[in-house]
Amino acid sequence: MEIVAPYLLIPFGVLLILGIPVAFALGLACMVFLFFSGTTIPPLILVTEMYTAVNQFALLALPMFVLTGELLNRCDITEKLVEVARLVVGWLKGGLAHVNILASMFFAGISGSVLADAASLGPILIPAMVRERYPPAFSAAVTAASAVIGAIIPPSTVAIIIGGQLQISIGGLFAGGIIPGVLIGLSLMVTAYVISARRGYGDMHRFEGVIPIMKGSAKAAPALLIPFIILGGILGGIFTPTEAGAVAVLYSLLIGTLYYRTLDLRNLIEAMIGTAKVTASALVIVSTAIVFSRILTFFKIPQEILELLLAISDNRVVMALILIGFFLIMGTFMDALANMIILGPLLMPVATSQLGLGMTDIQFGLFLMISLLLGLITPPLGLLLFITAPIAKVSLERVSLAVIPFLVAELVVLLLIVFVPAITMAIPRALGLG
Amino acid sequence: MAEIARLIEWLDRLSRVAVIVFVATITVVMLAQVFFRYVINSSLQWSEELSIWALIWMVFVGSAVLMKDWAHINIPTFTNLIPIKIRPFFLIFGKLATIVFLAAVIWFGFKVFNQDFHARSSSLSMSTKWAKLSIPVGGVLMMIFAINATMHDLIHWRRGNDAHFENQGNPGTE
Repeated sequence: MEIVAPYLLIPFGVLLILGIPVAFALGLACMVFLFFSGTTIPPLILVTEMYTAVNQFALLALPMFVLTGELLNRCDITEKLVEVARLVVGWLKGGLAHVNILASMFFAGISGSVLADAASLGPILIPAMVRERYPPAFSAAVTAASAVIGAIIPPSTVAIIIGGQLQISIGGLFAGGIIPGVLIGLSLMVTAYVISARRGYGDMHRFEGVIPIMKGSAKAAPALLIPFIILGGILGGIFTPTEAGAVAVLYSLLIGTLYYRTLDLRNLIEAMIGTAKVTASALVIVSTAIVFSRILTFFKIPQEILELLLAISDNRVVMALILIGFFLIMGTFMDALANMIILGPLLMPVATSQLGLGMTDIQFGLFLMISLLLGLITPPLGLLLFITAPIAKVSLERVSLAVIPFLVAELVVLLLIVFVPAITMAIPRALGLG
Repeated sequence: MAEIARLIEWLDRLSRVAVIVFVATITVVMLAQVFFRYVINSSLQWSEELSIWALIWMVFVGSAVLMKDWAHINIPTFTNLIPIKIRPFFLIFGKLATIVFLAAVIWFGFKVFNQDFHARSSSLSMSTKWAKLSIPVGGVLMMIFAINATMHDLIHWRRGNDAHFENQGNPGTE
């Protein structure tokens, strides 16, 4: 810690605050360390580790799922998913809030990205909610809180990346994410229901019956089938995650050109460039974060953290709360992906050791993912609040207050994930993945 | 000046075409792999290596495409709190620091490329140095675009165009 803090951690913090892109702030901090700390680690590892980080077959799944999402976004799929959600839950008290949450869950099965979720659903649902006299801050808060589900319900882009880096089965993380994703959705719906009922938010609508639901679903059905193709293929042991991604690309190309008829060559080229941009901005961070993480591991920082944590308390509840608090703060301050790459290897030994929290690998992977994603809605810096507040034309302070009940609901589910292994492990175990 | 702008434009288009080719390669090769394994019942030997090489190149050339618009993920929260009149100073410093890092990546990248020993790809019968070359090449492209972005900052600063310094960067992709 004596040389890691002044030559690596502090330079990184300063560079990050100066607004230097995360990938290059990580790389520069490693450079400072390799050149000035007097270490014997050769500076060439800067490049060799960057290469090794991306040279992983598991990561091939990432551009495939990103491309699937990019293609379907160009099929105007969002409105169709919202319509199905409206028919199913729109008649409940707090109807549009439930529609927002359920649409996020549908969306999660297709795109696997949190920001794409908020950026696609926000502009449609927030104005609709405001028109029905939901307070703008509440509308922005529901959109932000439910967008988190995007990366939890499979397929999930962050699961692919942390699975690749931490050597956890990606199929296992996908399978393990199903129940937590649904539970978070339900906990948000309960919260939205209670708040709307107490404060009389929103208009009441009547249930339109089962037949309109089936009619509405017909338009969205080809897109809604995608998660089943992907999950069925992977979990049934037919495809690797990458192959499932490629099949999903082919399928979305087919429905985009033959069924929805909105895909043309220009759309396709834009989708491919978009895919390269999203993939590159994620994996370039992974590539330098790996160098950073290697240096930390070389100096046995994970052991120091475990000892430190055990010195504070050997009570599992206390340890879990400390970890969650730490993840939320880090997640709200810095890009969730860089956090996962750096903190994952650092804290995995602590969390999976019997002295520590005694988690399984898949359970830890999901715990890490979900707690860092919750950093995205933690006030006052959470990124999703910054995205949804301007859409609702409301101040960050108001959204920060409105999001707190939803954040608490999600934290309850997070605690359940830590202490009830069956929530994350039941499906992977049943499929022989955990 | 016009020549430089045209060169930047040309390099940007070249990088975009390159990443389209890489994305298409991964998709087509992975679909071919599925087809051969499940329909023809014989696995391809070279498919995973070829697509991973395409991915590596896509990441570092794709990073250059992002650099053209200064669209790498950063944390603009703190720089956006700096008063607009002195903010350009910090943003330009950030770009210069990035250029220093890229210089190191290029230098060490070519050093690694020129090393004597590289693993050979088993199925493509090529040295892995050709995959590693993506890092210095992507580095050079990124550096050109980063210098271009810095020049733009300087020009806008001199003109007193504050709007250029609002919300630079890209807050995330999760």
